[in-house]
Amino acid sequence: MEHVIVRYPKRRVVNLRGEETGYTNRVFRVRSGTHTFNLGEPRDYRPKWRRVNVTGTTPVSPMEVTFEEL
Amino acid sequence: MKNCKRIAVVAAGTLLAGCASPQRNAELSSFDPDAGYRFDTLSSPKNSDELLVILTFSGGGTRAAALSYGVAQQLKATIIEAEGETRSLLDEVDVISSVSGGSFTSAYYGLFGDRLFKDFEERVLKRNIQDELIWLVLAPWNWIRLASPTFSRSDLAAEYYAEQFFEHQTFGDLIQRDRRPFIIINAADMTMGSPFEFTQDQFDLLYSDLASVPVGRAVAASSAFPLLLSPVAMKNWNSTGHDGFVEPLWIDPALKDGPELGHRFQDARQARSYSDVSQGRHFIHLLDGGVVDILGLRPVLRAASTTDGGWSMMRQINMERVDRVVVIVVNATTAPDTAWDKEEKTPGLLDVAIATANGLLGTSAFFVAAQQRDQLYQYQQSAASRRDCEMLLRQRKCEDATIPGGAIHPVDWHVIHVGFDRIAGHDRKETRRYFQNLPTSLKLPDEDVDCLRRAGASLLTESKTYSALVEALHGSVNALVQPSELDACRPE
Repeated sequence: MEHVIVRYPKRRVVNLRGEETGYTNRVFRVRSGTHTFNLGEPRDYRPKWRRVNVTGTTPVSPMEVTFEEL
Repeated sequence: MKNCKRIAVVAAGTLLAGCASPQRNAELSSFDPDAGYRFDTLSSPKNSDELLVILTFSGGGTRAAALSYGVAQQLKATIIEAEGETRSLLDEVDVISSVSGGSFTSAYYGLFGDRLFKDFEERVLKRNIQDELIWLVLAPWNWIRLASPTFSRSDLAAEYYAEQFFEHQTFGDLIQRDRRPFIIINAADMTMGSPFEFTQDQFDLLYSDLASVPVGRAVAASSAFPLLLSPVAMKNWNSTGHDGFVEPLWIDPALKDGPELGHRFQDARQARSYSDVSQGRHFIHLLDGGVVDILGLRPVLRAASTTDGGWSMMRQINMERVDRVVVIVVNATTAPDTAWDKEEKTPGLLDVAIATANGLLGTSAFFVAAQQRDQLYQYQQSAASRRDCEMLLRQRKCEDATIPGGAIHPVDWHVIHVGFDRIAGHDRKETRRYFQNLPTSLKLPDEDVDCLRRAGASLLTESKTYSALVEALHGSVNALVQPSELDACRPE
């Protein structure tokens, strides 16, 4: 079990392969391995998606994935 | 002339046998990952989303079916408060994952709801299914069909279950019912040695429409005990590739990540095997689900540990939709007495086969249950460690200290085990021994069925975790059976 936090200035739903998986700026859990994150619609962020290998995280040091607001 | 007649009869029989084939699963008319029998497509009007209740029914023939039936009866009698209404705890059940004998109860409840409590006992539990199946195999009119290489004893059992118990209903009928619980009937993929679920998420990989499959056929696959019953075949419409098929997007990266990632890689390898043209898996042969998971717990473990496609409890928790998770594991596995160690005589082949099967099933049950405990611990630890870390920082004079990401959404977990090993205490030794020596069979005397039904209800209400759960839900247990009634069940 891995821990991730997706950074974005607003609260948005985080998608993994098109499925709602968590919220921005809140820690959530995923399985170890490579995942592709995006924030769905509207596409007012960049990059369009981030592909990250999530391993070796702990609850107090989650992997950070950042999107910028456009 | 007589010889000519005989030859003609044999030839006609051979031709007919060649034509005999069971009802096959149909090809999908179009690929739609949001349609079909899936957790997310079932509505839940009288079932609160914040409370997630999951039941698992183990294998063990009629013994397992009767024990899980007793648990269902007690859940029906337990009244709780949810969303300002009083409901039975059974109405709050979201998922039932079952194996083998337990699949008779789960499938019946999934199809017919509360009718389970009206006729299941007479129609299924107190019926000599085993002898009826033997008579079907011995009936001359079935010999020709059974002579066909594409029609097996399990196909006959599937027809019998569909006709006698499940009124020829299919998964399409379960979709039409459009209500939880989501029933996961588990079999085992004979080639991959891995679980095979009767859900549309699994059947997508075969490019097949689960709605076309009779529920009786799924139960037959789930209970196709090796050697006694033959495997049940499913046609794989995806074995030569299919233009309409869209592979779930998690599979490719999981395969590229490699075997170091354990379960995820293994799941991806199995999923890819159905569409991998080089493997040519035109038919998938299914065995009793108990071969790989006697407790029916693996779909629950998977749902709690992944966001990769299908039903995902982890996703529900991440989305902060669930506040409380209840898992009730109904375990009808036994620990029969043996006389092997009382004498020097070498145990025979049958004894060795029984010991091997019991050993494998027992080990599998032990490890799956241990995995579940670890997983629960991880969930609790991850929430607690963030909270504790912040508290520690504050104690060290960092009063504004916070860890980025806020608190992890808190979830209360209640894991309840109902099994014969829970009949504790020296004074109950004989009762425990009685249950642990009940055979795995599709026929049991009525008195044994009654005892098992009582055991399911009693062991549930005897559980302290269950009492705490009902209290937390502002409910009342309304015990159907007192422990003393259970203690009347003893070896003769």
